[in-house]
Amino acid sequence: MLFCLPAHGQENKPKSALCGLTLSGKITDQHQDTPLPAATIILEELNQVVQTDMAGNYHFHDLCPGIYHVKTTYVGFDFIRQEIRLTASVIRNFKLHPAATELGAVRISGHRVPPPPTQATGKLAGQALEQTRGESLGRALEQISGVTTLNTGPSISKPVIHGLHSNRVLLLNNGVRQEGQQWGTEHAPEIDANVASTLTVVKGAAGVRYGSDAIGGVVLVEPAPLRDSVGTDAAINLVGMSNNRMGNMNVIVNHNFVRWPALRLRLQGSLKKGGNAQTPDYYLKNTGFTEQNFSATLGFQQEKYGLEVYYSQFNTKLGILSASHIGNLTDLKRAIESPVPLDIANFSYQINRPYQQVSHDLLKLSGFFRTGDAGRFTWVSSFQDNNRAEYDKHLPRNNERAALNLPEIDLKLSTFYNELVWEHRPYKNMTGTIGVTGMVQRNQYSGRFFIPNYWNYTGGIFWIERWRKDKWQLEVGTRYDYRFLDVVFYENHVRTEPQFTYHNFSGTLGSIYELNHHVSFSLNGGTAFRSPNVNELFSNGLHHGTASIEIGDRNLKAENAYNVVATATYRSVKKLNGELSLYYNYIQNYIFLAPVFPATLTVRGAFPTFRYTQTNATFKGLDVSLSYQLTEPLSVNAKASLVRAFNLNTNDYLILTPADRFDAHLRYEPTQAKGTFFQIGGMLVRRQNRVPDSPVANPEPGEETTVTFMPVNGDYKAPPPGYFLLQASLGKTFIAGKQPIEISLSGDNLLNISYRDYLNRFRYFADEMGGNIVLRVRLPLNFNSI
Amino acid sequence: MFNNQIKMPKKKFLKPAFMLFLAAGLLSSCDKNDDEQEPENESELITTVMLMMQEVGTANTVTATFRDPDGDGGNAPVQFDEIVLKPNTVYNTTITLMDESKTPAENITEEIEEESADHQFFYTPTAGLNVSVAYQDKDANNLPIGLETTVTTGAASTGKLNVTLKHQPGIKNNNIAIGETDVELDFTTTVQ
Repeated sequence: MLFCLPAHGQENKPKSALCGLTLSGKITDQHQDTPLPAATIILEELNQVVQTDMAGNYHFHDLCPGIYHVKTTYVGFDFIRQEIRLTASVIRNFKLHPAATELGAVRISGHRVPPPPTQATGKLAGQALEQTRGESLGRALEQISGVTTLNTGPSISKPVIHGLHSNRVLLLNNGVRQEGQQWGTEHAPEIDANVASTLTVVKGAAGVRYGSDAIGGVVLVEPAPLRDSVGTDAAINLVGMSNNRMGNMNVIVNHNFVRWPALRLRLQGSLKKGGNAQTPDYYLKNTGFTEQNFSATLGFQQEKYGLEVYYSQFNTKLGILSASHIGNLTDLKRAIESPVPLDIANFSYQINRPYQQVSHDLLKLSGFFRTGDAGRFTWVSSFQDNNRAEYDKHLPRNNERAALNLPEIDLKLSTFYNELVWEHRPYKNMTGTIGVTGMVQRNQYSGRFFIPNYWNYTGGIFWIERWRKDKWQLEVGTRYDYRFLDVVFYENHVRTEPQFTYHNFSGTLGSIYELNHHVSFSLNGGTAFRSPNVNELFSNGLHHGTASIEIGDRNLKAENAYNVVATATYRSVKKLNGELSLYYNYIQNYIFLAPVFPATLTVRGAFPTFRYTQTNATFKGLDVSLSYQLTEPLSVNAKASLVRAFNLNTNDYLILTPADRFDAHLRYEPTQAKGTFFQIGGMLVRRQNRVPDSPVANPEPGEETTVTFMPVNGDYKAPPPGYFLLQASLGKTFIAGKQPIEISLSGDNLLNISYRDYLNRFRYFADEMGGNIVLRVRLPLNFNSI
Repeated sequence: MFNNQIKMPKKKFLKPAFMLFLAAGLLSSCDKNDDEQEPENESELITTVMLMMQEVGTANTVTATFRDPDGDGGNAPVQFDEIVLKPNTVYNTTITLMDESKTPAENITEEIEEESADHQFFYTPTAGLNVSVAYQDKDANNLPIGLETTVTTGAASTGKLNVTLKHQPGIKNNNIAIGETDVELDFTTTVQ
């Protein structure tokens, strides 16, 4: 059986000079990453069938350029059908999911593999993603090298890519640009990580394709394609954590109607509840949280066109560590000097003031139309409605809202976003994409002033072309963005309506060179632009969530980033896999929140004060990941991420830069027992010694009475020492009758050490979580086989 | 081979997009900023703290004021007086709190008087300042309030007089460490 069937379809076509392309690749088991010999690959258009060799490799030769559909099947695994646009000889690797245990692999026909980005990327899927179930999106992304998190206590985390975070990291939730309220470090992305079957991080400036602001990178949260064969399947995920006694349940059901096979449905829902987290010595009072999310997708897909409706809702209530809700600088000093938080408690699920209540609704309508002549059009329209209510610990005096137990701040952000993309038909060796985007956004607030009401209009147009030949791929792209910001607010009862216009061109130039099957190099240079956010321009006042005064600056200019990333990848069949990427990012007019000294005087004492400050900065660093198979079941994995951030204007380091981190694991995974593994390792985080020497001066402190604080490293507290966390996990797939049950047990911070992290806003007040044992159970259900 | 066919259907499919952008434009134009009213924020601010110190047996009065009319943050406080007292003298002292961000200014002292069982002022001189403060008023539970006090000075000295108002609903027990801080000011004080 191990031979290529003759290529009949080929003979009918006129031979052109270009028809000599090769499509080849490797078929592996998604979970085990082992090759699948004798898997069948069908090239539908040419009616060609081949089988993989003993190493899982396959080849199609003498192909003409065009769009092909490739179907890969293997007994006991779900098949994959993909569209491949052939303009040059390419390597396409497919990963198959075991049929009985995997639902996510059911692919819609026409699901395409996007061309590999020329930027460095990291991916989390399959078993690696399953091992993060129950974690927040930010925490899950930490598994990818080069990604760290900016945290506020144990439940709020934001992804940091190459030292850049918040509005510089664009989140694409199921293809929709997430428009949440990213007004501060304690505003986490409003996305349920349970929706995702793949998390992809594009590291470095990626503004041309994904829109302005993507200076740091892009996080793509992608659900599995809808089911494309008639029937029903489902999966139930259960997670339990010992530390904060958290429970998480997620259910996904996929259905494809017998009567209307073009119609596909998915329903998903998740519930989460956690209590006070625990450090080795005490509980963190009021750090409980709850989450209730659901989503529904209805797709209608034909060969040439498709439509999809997606609706999701995210709801969370997050307790804020009560010890962090300080009154003024005297309290802050007392809190910082105290070795344990001044306000501690026992375990409780109770969420008291201060807390946040956040909801995010997303309605997405999308469609595509494919014509053989023009290529493919994709359209996406989305409506997002984000509500954020913050309940302070300190109730305002005699306030009508407080009397009704309304939040002290209530923000509502509504966004209507449209995108139309045309992927033109491959022409010679060129493939390309042209798109237009437009957005209308409105913010409204009630309660205490934090950011003003505004209307925000943006428009963008981009064009990216990619040229492929033999071992080379070149990509060139450009984009124009326009933003009009219309702000309304009242200063001393006088209405003002400042208006801002920002516009900019950005570009990208990248290349990939595949030296051979094992080694490839990529180089990308890009520019990106980000106009200041409303909070950076206008926030002015006490931010109770972090007990500090935050002051914006109306004269801030837009940020411009110039970014270069070089990546070398080595993939051998089994032994050694590795990737090294180096980056350099120069950001003109980098905006950051700097603690300023002395603090601001108010009637309630002096408050820690942070100002939005602008400078020219550089971020450079490297990410390395390596895996090496020692013997058949035993392998070593290691990764490291280093970032250096420098403030060029003050000739000093930048504040809040992730410390160096190293991660290494030893993994035992016998090939004969599928789904069984044992892993032990740890993460080492060094102390961040690259911190600013001198603080930023506060131009308006008021009449300072007492110097309560001497700034340390431009901050209220020096960076905490480095730490090492021991981690271990083991997993096994049990079969009960025909029903597989995947069970895993993992432990974090197994030595139960007390530590603090430089990127946690609450490092002033409390330690990080202590030891945590996590039990994960996954039940994939296939109603056709039971 | 594909050259002449590429552009043909393009216009047809751009149409729905134009419609959408048009819709976006309409959506935004019919609902402009004119309806943005000033958000009502009835929160009460303490912008002004005034100490009136009347020298016993004379008509001499010393006043010291802290004033931050726009509240926390924003503009810096516009007034923060130094207290200058005579040595070995007794002053009958009253404290007044105002919200001057409103027109007319609101007197908050009266509310504190009404809710005296939930509030207490604390007067703490720093070490070296020869000043002592005694409460002259009591709430329904026989606990001090601090709206009226006597300030007694000793020998000439300098330092700070810390004035703190705590809101302690249901928990008031003459303890400065509990409750919410409504006022905390360090008045520079000279006895000369």
